[in-house]
Amino acid sequence: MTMPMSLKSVSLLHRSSWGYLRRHPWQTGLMGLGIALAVAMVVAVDVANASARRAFALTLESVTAGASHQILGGPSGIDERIYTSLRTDLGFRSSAPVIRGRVRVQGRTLILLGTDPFSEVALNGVQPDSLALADAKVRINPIRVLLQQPSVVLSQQTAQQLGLKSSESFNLDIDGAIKSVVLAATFEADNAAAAEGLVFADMSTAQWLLGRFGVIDSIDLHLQNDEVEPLREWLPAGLTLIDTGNRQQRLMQMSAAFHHNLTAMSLLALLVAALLIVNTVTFSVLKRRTSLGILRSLGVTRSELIRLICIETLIVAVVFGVLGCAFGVALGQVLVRFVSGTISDLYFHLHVTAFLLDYRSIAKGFVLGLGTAFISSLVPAWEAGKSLPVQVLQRSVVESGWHRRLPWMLLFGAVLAALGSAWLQWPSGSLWGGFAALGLQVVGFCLCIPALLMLLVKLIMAVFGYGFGISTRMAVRGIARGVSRSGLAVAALALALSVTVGVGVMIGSFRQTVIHWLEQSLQGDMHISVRNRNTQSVPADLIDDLRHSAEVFQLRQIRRTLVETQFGPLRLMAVASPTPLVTPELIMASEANWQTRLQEDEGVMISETLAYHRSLSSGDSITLLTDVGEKTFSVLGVFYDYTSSRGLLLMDDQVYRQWWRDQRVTAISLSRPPNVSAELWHQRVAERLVPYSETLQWHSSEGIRTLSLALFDRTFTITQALRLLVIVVAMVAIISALLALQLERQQQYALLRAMGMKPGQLMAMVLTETGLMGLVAALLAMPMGVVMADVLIDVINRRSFGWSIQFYWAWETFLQAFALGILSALVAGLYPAWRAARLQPANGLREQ
Amino acid sequence: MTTAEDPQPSNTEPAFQIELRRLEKSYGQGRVRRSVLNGLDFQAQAGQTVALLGRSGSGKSTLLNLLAGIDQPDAGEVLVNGRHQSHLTDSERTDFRRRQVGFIYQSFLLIPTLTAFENIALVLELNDVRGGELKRRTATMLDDIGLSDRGGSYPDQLSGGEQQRIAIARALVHRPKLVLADEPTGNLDEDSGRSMLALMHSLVSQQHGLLVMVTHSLAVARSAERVLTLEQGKLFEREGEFAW
Ligand SMILES: Nc1ncnc2c1ncn2[C@@H]1O[C@H](COP(=O)(O)OP(=O)(O)O)[C@@H](O)[C@H]1O
Ligand SMILES: [Mg+2]
Repeated sequence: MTMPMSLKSVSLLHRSSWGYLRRHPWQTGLMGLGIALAVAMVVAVDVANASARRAFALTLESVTAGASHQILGGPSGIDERIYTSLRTDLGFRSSAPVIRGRVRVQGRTLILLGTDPFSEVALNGVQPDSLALADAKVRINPIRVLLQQPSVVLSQQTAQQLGLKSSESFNLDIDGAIKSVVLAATFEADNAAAAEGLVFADMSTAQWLLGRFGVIDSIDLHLQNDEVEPLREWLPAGLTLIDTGNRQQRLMQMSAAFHHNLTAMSLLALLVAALLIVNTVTFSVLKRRTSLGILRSLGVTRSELIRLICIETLIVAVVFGVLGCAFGVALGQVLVRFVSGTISDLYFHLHVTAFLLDYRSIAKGFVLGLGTAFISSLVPAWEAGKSLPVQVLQRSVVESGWHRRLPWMLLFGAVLAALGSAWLQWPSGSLWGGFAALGLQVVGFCLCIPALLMLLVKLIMAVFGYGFGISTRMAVRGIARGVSRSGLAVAALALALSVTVGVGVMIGSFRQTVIHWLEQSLQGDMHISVRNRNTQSVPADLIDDLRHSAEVFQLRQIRRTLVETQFGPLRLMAVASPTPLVTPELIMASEANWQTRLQEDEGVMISETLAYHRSLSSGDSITLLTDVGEKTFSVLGVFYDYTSSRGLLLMDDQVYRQWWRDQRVTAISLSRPPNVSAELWHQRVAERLVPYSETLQWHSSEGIRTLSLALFDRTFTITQALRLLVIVVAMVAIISALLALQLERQQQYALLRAMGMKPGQLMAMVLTETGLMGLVAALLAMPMGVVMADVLIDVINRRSFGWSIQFYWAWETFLQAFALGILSALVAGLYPAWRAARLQPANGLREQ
Repeated sequence: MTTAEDPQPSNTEPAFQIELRRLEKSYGQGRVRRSVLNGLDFQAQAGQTVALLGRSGSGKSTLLNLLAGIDQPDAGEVLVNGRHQSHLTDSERTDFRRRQVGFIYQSFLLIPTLTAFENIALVLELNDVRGGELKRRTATMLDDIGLSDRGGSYPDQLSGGEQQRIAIARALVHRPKLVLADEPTGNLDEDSGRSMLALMHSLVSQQHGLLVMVTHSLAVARSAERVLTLEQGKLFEREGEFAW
């Protein structure tokens, strides 16, 4: 008897589900929109991250072209005779020389890769799954002989992007020098993205183009295990043999933190969406309380009811999850550009920008979306299943349930937040640990919000209630009474606002710190640098000339380069300066007499990021590959630097020249004599530089500052975009919650209209209520935002990048968030208010 | 259809008068349209008490809604003091409800977020009564219904009978000319019902208003001066039958 009965009623319930969805398209649509947006955000960020990571890997691979090992030289490269002797004397046939440089074609920066076609074939023959360039490359030489003109090869895709056809001539801009080349051939790469942005040429052409005769950058090798050690012993001093796999991995780890940060942001959107789902499902259960109650009394079991409500939510989640995935892929194509740009700026120049769709990203977003929907629907479904048949979910039962639970939610939330805070104090925590702790705080905060909302409303009533008109009191008390709705709406909004505040304050603080740092670190008034550090040098006669000129008060000479270290390649700055290399304000920690010891003891200063990531401090030492072999330098101090997350070494110029056979100077900075007008001085110095404009570029301190901040802002574009998206999801959530709240009040509004309340008065009342909710959300978001900013600055950023940031109260961020909160709530209230005002009293009164 | 006897002469204000002419109202759309009121005529003045009888679903509530200006007829006219209600703007109609109408709903429909006092005072506030006068008049009203000590309670803290008294007070506090009651004693035991009825009668007559009550109860009908039944969309005056 029970079986058929319950079966029948369940199918009836299924039908009632459909009927409900059709009659309340708004609620379902908003929930779907929220799910879709959150899924889209997760997918987009994941796709962008995966694409950028893949681009990173491809960039590294295309540079190392399937080799197992690489011989690297110092800043001045490797003498190509070493390669010849490697091949002929030692007989390493699986080896290929490589030279690299940046060229510009039609305003796009491409990587010029010079290799030896015949040795490439040998190398790639061993490793068939590499770029498959062999065919195309073999054809280069004959054509070149025929045309007597330097020729290059592009992938079909790159050629198409540049609008070039085979045997067409085009110009390469190599650090200002224009050289004409012929497109000898195009090739179709197995993986189009890997070859994107690469210009291939044979070795001598590339050397000629780059103006680096007789020099190569590295030698790719495919080595057997037993060949490694003998080769290492044979290598002349100044060269090093590295395992490309290891190196790639280490290089890729650098940007991992950056990707994790973006992922964490996208997960926040899911949390906001979860609040939205709880709200919508509760509403749908309440709207059907009669039919659910009847079914319950007909013998539908509790678990059948719960299952049904969860399945309903999951169906909506599947449909909108699919839409979200599609949207996420589209959004990911936009994001990947930002992500790749930031990686290029912060870590490693990526020439690959292609969008690579990783289906795992889509699956991840979809599953996370479904999981969130399922877990969020459990709460209201359980609530519906729990109640007795007769009283299935009276509104008042739900509310009183909430009211009873408020103190417990507050307590539980506070405990979670406290646990999160305690966890953050853990000194050697990982980045994910930091995020998990922050997550605990955030969830704890959300749990506290309904209770805090009640308290605030009571406080407002106690303080101002007496002066309020009755309709205002009604609006205010309505918030407290419908706390299951208003609490969720306020929580969603407050969460999103606190993200805005937290991220905004973090970025603002960071920016302010960078501005401050730029002021301290930019010594000199005019900064002159070469256009290409690898090939060009500030002419010695110019330096001499300027040094002795009356117009120059002080001159600082800088050589920037990359050196191999035990931690992989690191940036090195060798400076000759009449003033201390680092101003005292920028020193974090140092040995005594570090300034003299930089020369006497041949020490280095290291940047904070390096110190943090490698747990180095003054007194430790670091091994660098010099032109005469490995040499250990003592670390004399740590300084603040925000130019690279990988780390920076600072060295005295004389020490550098002693260990590296390199006379190049990549930059100089000049300071102006006192009592000389800045503008005039700049003009006069610039005039002297004009003849060198092919190799040199120059900026005032102000110009550098602007450039640096533009770069900074570009780095955070994606974060800002994600922050906006979280707000959008929150908007959907509060619109949905407010709409539900207002729909439940239809009868009350009809009554008020029947009693003679004018539409305008009713709208004002509804907007007072929603505006007040926005106000409370904004108020609650402020402290949470500050906590979040603090965690982001002191824990997340530090564990991610190793930068220390000064906390800075970015007031405009608080004001923005405040205005945004109230505005969002008002906008979200507009439709419900308009609906309420338009209501025909007779119709509204009947619905009971 | 006979009209009632002369209205009580009102000393200052012009006598309130309402008239329904050939009123039609149906629900639903297209083919499934169901006619509820079908060319109904009715006329009444201030000072009268009218009881409205009829089977469930006969359209009594619909008629009250039309009288109150909460709903509008498909055809026919509602005239208040000779003015066509259909010519009013929405704002004017709202003003009419606000100043002239008091409605006691079958299920009271008190506002749960307002105290008993506030539920009553809200009507005065809508009528621009403020400050001391608002308090005084609300307090007097609470006193009249015998609930002066329960003003601070919320509706869910009151019994059904108490809620009903608040609903009556709310309908009368602004001294409307037209008081409509939809089965006002339907949810009450006989004793409370009787005292409620007496209260309503005395307040309406004090204010010299027109009272129209929907009821199923013989006792309530007996208390009215005129008794009408709604059948097949039309009104019939039951003269003599209840005229004791
Ligand atoms: N808004 C409406 N939509 C559809 N039908 C309605 C509506 N209001 C009333 N009705 C129908 O009109 C008829 C009269 O209703 P009502 O005036 O409430 O009757 P009574 O109050 O006499 O019981 C009933 O059949 C009812 O179902
Ligand atoms: Mg009725």
